[in-house]
Amino acid sequence: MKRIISKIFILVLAVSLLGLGLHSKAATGYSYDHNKKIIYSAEGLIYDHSFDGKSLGIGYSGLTSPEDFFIFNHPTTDEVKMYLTDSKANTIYVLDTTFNKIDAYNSFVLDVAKFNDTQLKAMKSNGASIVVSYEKADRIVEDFLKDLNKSIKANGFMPQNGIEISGGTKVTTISASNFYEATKYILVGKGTSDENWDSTAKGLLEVDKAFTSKWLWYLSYAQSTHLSNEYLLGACNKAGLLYDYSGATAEVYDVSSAKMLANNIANLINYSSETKHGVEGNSYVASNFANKEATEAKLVEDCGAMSLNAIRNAGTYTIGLANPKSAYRSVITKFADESLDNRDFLYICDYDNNQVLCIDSQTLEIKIVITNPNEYENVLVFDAQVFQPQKVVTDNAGRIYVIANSVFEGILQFDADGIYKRFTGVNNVTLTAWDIFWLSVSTEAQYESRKSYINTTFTSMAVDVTGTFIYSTASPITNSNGSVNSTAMIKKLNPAGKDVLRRNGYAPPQGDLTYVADTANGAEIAVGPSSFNAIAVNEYGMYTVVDSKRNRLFTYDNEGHLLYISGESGKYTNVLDAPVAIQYYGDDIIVLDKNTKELKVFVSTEIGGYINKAVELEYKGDIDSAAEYWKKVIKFNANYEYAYVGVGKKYLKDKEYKTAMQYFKNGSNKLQYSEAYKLYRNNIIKKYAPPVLYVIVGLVIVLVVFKIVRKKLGKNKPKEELNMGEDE
Amino acid sequence: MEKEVLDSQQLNKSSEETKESKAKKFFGVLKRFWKYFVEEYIKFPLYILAHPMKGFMMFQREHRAKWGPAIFYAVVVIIINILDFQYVSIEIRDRDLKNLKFFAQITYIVGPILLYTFASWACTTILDGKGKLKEIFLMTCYSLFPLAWCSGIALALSNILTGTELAIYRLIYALGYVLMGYMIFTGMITIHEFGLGKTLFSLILTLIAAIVIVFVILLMYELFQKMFGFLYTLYTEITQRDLLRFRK
Repeated sequence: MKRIISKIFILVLAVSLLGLGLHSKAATGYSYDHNKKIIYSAEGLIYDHSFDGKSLGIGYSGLTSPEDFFIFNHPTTDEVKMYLTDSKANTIYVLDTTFNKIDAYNSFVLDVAKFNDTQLKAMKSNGASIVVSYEKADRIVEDFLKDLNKSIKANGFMPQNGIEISGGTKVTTISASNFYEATKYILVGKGTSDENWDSTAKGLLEVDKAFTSKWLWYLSYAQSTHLSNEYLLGACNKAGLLYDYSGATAEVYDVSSAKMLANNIANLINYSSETKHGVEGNSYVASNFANKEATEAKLVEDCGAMSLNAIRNAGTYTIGLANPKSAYRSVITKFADESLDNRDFLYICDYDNNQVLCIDSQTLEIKIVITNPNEYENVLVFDAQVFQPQKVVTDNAGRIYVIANSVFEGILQFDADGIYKRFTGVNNVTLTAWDIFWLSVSTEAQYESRKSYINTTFTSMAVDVTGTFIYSTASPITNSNGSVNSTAMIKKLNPAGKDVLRRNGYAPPQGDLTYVADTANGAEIAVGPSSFNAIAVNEYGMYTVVDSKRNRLFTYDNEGHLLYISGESGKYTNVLDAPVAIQYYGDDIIVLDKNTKELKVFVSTEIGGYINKAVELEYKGDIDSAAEYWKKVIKFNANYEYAYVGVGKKYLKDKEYKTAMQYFKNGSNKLQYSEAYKLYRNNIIKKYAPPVLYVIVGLVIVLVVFKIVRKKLGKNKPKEELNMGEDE
Repeated sequence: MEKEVLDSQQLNKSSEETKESKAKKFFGVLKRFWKYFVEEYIKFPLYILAHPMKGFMMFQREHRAKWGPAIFYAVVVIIINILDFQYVSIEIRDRDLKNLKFFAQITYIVGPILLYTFASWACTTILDGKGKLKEIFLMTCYSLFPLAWCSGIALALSNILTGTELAIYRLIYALGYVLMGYMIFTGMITIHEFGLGKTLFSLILTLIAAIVIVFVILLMYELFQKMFGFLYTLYTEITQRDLLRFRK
């Protein structure tokens, strides 16, 4: 009976244990052990809630293409503002701490007087130069002719069967090649004397004001030969407005401006036709048009000067954003240079305008505009390349660091005044000796046809809380021997531009350690190492990077230990689809998802919180308290190797070397283990060396004494006995 | 009564005597075995190491070469290599115990020995070497003697040394390999009665031969795989095909 009961008991126990085993769910997250093998591990961050366009106060369709998200913490006051960049809407949204929109910027006012001509010429607004270029003007001529033909027909100036021009040919539309003769015919009439110009113009002005303002182009042209200056100005003023080259309305201020305008349009018309049609009597054209290059240069200059004039006279200019990629704000405090002290600037990467705007964040006035360094620096940096800024940060000295599209030389560094200084933190490709040899002997043609090995571009930046170090991410480097170097994708650049990132973990920080290198059968899975496109650093050196390839967040401490991996890929709310920006907000992490157009807030899990706390305490040097948290971490996850090292450090400090050794062994930290073992061994030697030495010394003394005694005794003994003794 | 007691005492005494003699015998065997072991397993290889020419002369001419020590040291090297996984100090451990594959470890040692033996034999026979296949094999195995000792000592030492002192560990290990190379080289010279130049030449030839052998093995492997693959497809084709269809 007893046996049966015990058997039943065991059965029940076994079943219940089995049941428990079946019900216990494996941890969802993963991590890597010291052998770079994937192990189960709890996630450190977990999705909590999110904000979409509606809840941000922007509207359902307000967020079209969010590109960047930045949280600004004022170093002295407790002002917190968030900047959300929308590249399609050309808007920077400003959010408060309750995640509500308080402001939206899409254009900024420029004080023209503070910039010189070359600076103004380099600036762009809404994707076009604010000072109009010749190329633009050329297009305007076409538009003008189109409008002119339309107007002529509408007002009945063009006869039904066309106009007969010299050579007997009939034309029905005015083009650049027949412009002079055709317009002369219309205005003056065939064969009429030239004295009628002024009166005809006057008559025309009275026909239609809007029409006339267009026709003033022509009048301006005619002025060079027949129209008097006074009349022109009068006509201009009567028309009130004059179309400038850019198509927007601009006032004509003086005779010289009007004359310049006139000359230019005339030259443009003649230039477009590329013939000498109608140049008779136009001395300006006659003298310049013979030389095409000179004409073009002169035209560009004139167009620019005229446009500049208009801008200068206006006093201010409103620059509209075009495809802004990111916004960043910083305050310089307690810096030696007094002029920079308390400088509170908002920096915007205006991608399609090819400039970085540095705006006073209080008055919203543009202070500095960083344009293509090549345009005014006279250094060969951007040889025939467009400057397309993507990310911007500043350090504590106000130096501006910019990542620009397809720039392989590194991060662009500008000084506080926006003057280009140098490249920093280059990702160098390593060439094999064989490649270097071939490159040195190959001809120019061979060189051209070779596969080029280019340095990789940077993808994102963040600056640490002191404003000294710049954390950056880049794509992995493919070396000329085909090897992919993914160990230096994350860099910590010091002010000298050197990478000082600590890589003391089991593996250098590089995201996923094991991955599918290549798919032979073209399966639809992510291939190759992680690809980071955002990084965020918190106040105790912990940083999180976003792997946009597999949509994961990797968190490391300042020593380079992988702390936890969070997030997964998918289209739902609680997972990541296309993370583009990441920011620390207290202990939480906010990820901007470009596809779902949401700000996703990730909060620490319980184990994640303990890890954060332990790392923070360790960073501050409080190893004892950190060890308490590490012990909690071990309780949660006994496979969390780095926690053992944290505990071991405490025992090492407390001179409990044997325990410390055990912990370091569990944590697979060779260096620390060696240190603990050395001290442990020293202790043993200290303990046992004296007695052992005493015994040895004692034995030696006894031996010596014994020998001396035996020698003395042996001298008294006969020789035979000694020999006998030896025989035995 | 007394006699019986005496008898029993005598009996006891004699049994004690036999016990004693048995023990003596056993220890005698043990002693002889120990002497033999020291002589053949340690002293002779050491003698070869110290006097390679003379040693290998004895090795070949006087038939001092024995299968026992040769196999013994090969096995010892394999065992130490496996123990290295578990018992080397963690300061230097870079291999995971999970990656330990017993037969693979044996192959890593035995494979190169056999490959070298056959390649060397093939080359030296052409070059009129005097050594036989057996002698070459035994010579190679005897050359593992310094490696076995050095790796054993290094393994033990690694647990006493700290991280910075581990250069000593590497030095001893390297010494083992250098001495092994030295023994193989001098062994080649003596066994085949070669000059220095000819030995070097034969070593290069051996390398080429080894590559060829590996290539042929791989080729055979590939071909056999293809053949079996074909047969297997044939088999699956026949078994999977609906042969019943034809009955209708």
